Amino acid sequence: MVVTSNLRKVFTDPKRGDVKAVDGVSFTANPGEIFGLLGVNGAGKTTVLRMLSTILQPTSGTAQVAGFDVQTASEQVRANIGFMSTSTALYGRLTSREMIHYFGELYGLEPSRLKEREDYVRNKLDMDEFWERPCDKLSTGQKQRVSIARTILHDPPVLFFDEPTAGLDVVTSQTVMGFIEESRDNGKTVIFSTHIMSEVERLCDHVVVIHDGTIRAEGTVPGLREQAGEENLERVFLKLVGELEVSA
Amino acid sequence: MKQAIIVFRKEFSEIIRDKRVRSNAIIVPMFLVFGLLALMGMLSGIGEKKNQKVHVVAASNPLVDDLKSEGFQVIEIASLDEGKKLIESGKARLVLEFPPETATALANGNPIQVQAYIDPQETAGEIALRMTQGTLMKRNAAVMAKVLVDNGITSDQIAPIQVVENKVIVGKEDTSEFLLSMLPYFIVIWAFYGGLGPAGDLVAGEKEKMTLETLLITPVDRGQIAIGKFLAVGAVCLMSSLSALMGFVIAGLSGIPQFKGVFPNGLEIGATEFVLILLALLPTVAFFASLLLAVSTYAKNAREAQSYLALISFVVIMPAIFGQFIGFTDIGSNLFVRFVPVLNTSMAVREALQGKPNMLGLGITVAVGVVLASIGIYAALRMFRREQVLTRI
Repeated sequence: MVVTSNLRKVFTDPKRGDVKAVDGVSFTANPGEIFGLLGVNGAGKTTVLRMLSTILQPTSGTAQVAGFDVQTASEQVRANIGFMSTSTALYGRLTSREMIHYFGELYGLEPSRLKEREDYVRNKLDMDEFWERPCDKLSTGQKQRVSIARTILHDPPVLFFDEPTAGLDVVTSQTVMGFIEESRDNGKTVIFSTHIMSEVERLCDHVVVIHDGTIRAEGTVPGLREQAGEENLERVFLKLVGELEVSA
Repeated sequence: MKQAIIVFRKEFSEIIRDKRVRSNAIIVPMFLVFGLLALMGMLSGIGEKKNQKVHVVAASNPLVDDLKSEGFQVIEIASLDEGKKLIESGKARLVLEFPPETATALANGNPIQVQAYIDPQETAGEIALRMTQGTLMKRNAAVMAKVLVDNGITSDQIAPIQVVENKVIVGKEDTSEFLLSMLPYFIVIWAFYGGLGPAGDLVAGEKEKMTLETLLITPVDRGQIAIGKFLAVGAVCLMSSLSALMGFVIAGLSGIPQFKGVFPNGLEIGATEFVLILLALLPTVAFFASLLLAVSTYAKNAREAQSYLALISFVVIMPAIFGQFIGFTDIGSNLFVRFVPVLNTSMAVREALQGKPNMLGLGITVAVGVVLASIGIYAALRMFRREQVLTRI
């Protein structure tokens, strides 16, 4: 489970002064559901996920991930999450096997458990063909599978996906989305950040619309349609963030 | 510390897989030093008589015999014209023409004039001429001594003051000055330059390639990650420095005649010297590694890191260069020199090679290195723990 309460993040920029990236974000994501963060680029989605993964410190507010406070138990939080995004790249000179093994060691898996999990992800993600190949020699789809393997290797109860399909072709995107659905079905708490409406419609059980660092709306996809009085999810989104008149 | 070791192992193996690092930091220092020594050895042979070719216009007399007996390569030619052509074509440095009556004149004590031909723009010709003059003029000194003795004057009377050189051996005898000036310089410089490339990749490069975030979301403490990276940079710095030392060792052990001028007494680096060099070097390597890591952590990307490091390299290189010439001054005897980083290491390495280590100086050098390394590591850790390590892009 992930619970945030009035989460805020202010960056100090030498030119622009204080910039509120996230301002009072509160939500609860439950196990066995895909919780969507929907927003345009720069809306604050990545900052929220970075605070939840303890890479960034909240300016104020609180958040618990898998029962651990992000500020006081950051190592436990990181031990219980898997994080995948376009900014969590692979080490090009390591082979797929070495990459997975390295992260298994960093997550503190015992050798026997690590071997077991390596075998699991290798079979699960069909990695035999490129298991011993350096990561910079892999295709985009193969890289994505290594990333997924790295994300789930330690079997975390909470998974964060920050625009995981950005830059991927249709086939690879389907693989990633299929994996996200499977994680939900396995009882994981999944937080999925995106700006692609079709992915939200397919995957998300619950959505918050985030804009300029604040939550503009929250609910299920049908609930948001009803709230906005629109059928098309793009129009729903634009209406909720106050951009519909400009775009229309 | 276990996690730092895991990070170190991965970083080090990844660094070593980089062709640029293997060549620039490990192979190049060794070959560069080896090549430089070969060149210096070759140049040092220029002053030897056996390497001096003297072309002589058909003549056989005691002066030619003198040249031959002193080791000059005497080549007989048919005529002066041929000699001049050889000079023009660069095949002869010096052509000597003796008067036909040379032998008789010498026997009777009559003066003669030997004509020497050189290309004044060729330094090699000038060197051959000066060395030839040195040999031929010995006859003048012998004639003068004979005349003086015949007139009842001894050589002591015309040269009443003589300076006799007496060596007080401290450490090893006759350690090559070239070795003493160059080796410390190379060892210290490569400790910095070897780590330059890998350090830029380790943090700044990771920001750029977006692998840093992957690493920071693991439960490993950031301090442990930074220490693992520090150890990896330090290992490359040390390997690079030892590679330069290896170039000297290979040259010294090779037995190739070219190196005789550089190693007149053979290789002079034994186990004691090696331990002392290592002792002086390790804190400096740690300081360099921490400095490189701190800069890489601060920089937005590998390119920015390289720009900063290029500037810093000048600060490092200046004391190292000065260390080359410290043997020509009295500055080395001042205690303050021991507190100047890099310079103090050069001094300590120099003294170890001379076989007269200054233990107080070595102690201060190690202490200064440890303090600076600690400050550098602290700064790198502090920067690494800040969230700007990821957001300053």
